[in-house]
Amino acid sequence: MVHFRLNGESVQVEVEPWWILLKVIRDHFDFTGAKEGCGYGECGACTVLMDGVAVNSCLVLAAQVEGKDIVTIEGLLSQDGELHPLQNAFIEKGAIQCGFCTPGMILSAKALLDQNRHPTEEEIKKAIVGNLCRCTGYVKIVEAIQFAAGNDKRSI
Amino acid sequence: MVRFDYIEPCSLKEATTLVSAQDTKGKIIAGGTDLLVQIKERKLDVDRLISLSKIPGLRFIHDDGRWINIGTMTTIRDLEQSSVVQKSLPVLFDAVEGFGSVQIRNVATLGGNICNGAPSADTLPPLLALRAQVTYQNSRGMKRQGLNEFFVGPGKTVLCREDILMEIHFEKPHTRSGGAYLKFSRRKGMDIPLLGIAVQLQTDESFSFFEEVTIALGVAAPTPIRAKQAEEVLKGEKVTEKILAYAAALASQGAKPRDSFRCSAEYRRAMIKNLLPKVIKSALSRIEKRLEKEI
Repeated sequence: MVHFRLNGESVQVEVEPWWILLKVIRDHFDFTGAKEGCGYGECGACTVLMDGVAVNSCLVLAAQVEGKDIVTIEGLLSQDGELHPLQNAFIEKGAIQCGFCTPGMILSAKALLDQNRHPTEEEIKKAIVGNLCRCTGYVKIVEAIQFAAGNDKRSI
Repeated sequence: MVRFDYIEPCSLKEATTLVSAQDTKGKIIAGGTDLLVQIKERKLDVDRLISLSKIPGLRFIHDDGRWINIGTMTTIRDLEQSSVVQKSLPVLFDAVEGFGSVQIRNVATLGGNICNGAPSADTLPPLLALRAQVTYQNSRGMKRQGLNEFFVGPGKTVLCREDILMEIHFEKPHTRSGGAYLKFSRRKGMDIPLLGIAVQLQTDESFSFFEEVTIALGVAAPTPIRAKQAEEVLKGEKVTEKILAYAAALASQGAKPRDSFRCSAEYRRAMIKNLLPKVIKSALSRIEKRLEKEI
């Protein structure tokens, strides 16, 4: 039995030692925002926050999260169901096409902004180096993160 | 997914007992970013993983003024964000900053990168250039040895199954010392190097003579290696383009790179020759810049 916090709630679940966190989040808790892209820690589609930092949930065992705080894209909604400013920024700036990379991309961006409120373009690019997007070419994604950080002059 | 047991012992002693049990194919897991990939790819036959994550005292970066000691479970991200690494160890900072992705760096550990023993591991040339030593333990006691004698083949180290790497140590670089690591790769992120070049230099007060030189190469042989011939040639010499080119030619000749789908051995050799002088110059300019700041 593993006990941890998932999107703000204390949860417990019976797991096999070889189960991957991503599988448990999706199959047991039905939070399907985190995706399995490659399954080998290359693409970042499975990114979640673990104790506030971005990790690939495809390379974490469920048994390893005892006592930890896990946040998925579903955990970014406010209590009244409002989207997070980063989510709004991605919509506003057209930073979503197929959407497969978006949850991971937004969580990597959140981990960055939580640590560095006004990152430079270079810092944003470094923060999302582990999140592959095959549609957008990244330009609009970087713009959206700048917009959410209040760096985009047009947002002032 | 291959089935295995997962255990988080609370002491090194317990971990040693668990990993050396004869009836299982146990393996130590640190961050797991390489190990779980190997398991998923079915490249590793294992039925028990023993995690070091709950053992206290394995995650630290300690600078006592003379030596820098780093715990095996220190993450790559810990190193990247450490003021000791940022200020005193530019050669290591270069490597950890370009390592994998943020997600990988948050989980991957220095001990794991060392024990995995990949010829392309980004932290290994910098650690060799810093003349690092490692301490590991097993049921019979502890052993400390130079990292230059630690790697025996691709993915192979001197460690036996029951040995647990505990700590990495190296002398704190001199104030007139500086380093640089070049990760030569096709992409800036989420890639492994085609070639890794690490140098750590100490110059005289006028920055014109090499007092100490260490050069280490990754992906240039079956294991990360020191380029000792090149080091010898430079030591005590005046810094000139000619001597840098000569040292780079020696390093290139002394390397034993292989052809791979990423690039050919011949290309790797040519790149050692072309890039080593650049890395040395970058280390030299860092020494000057830092000392100018202090003056």
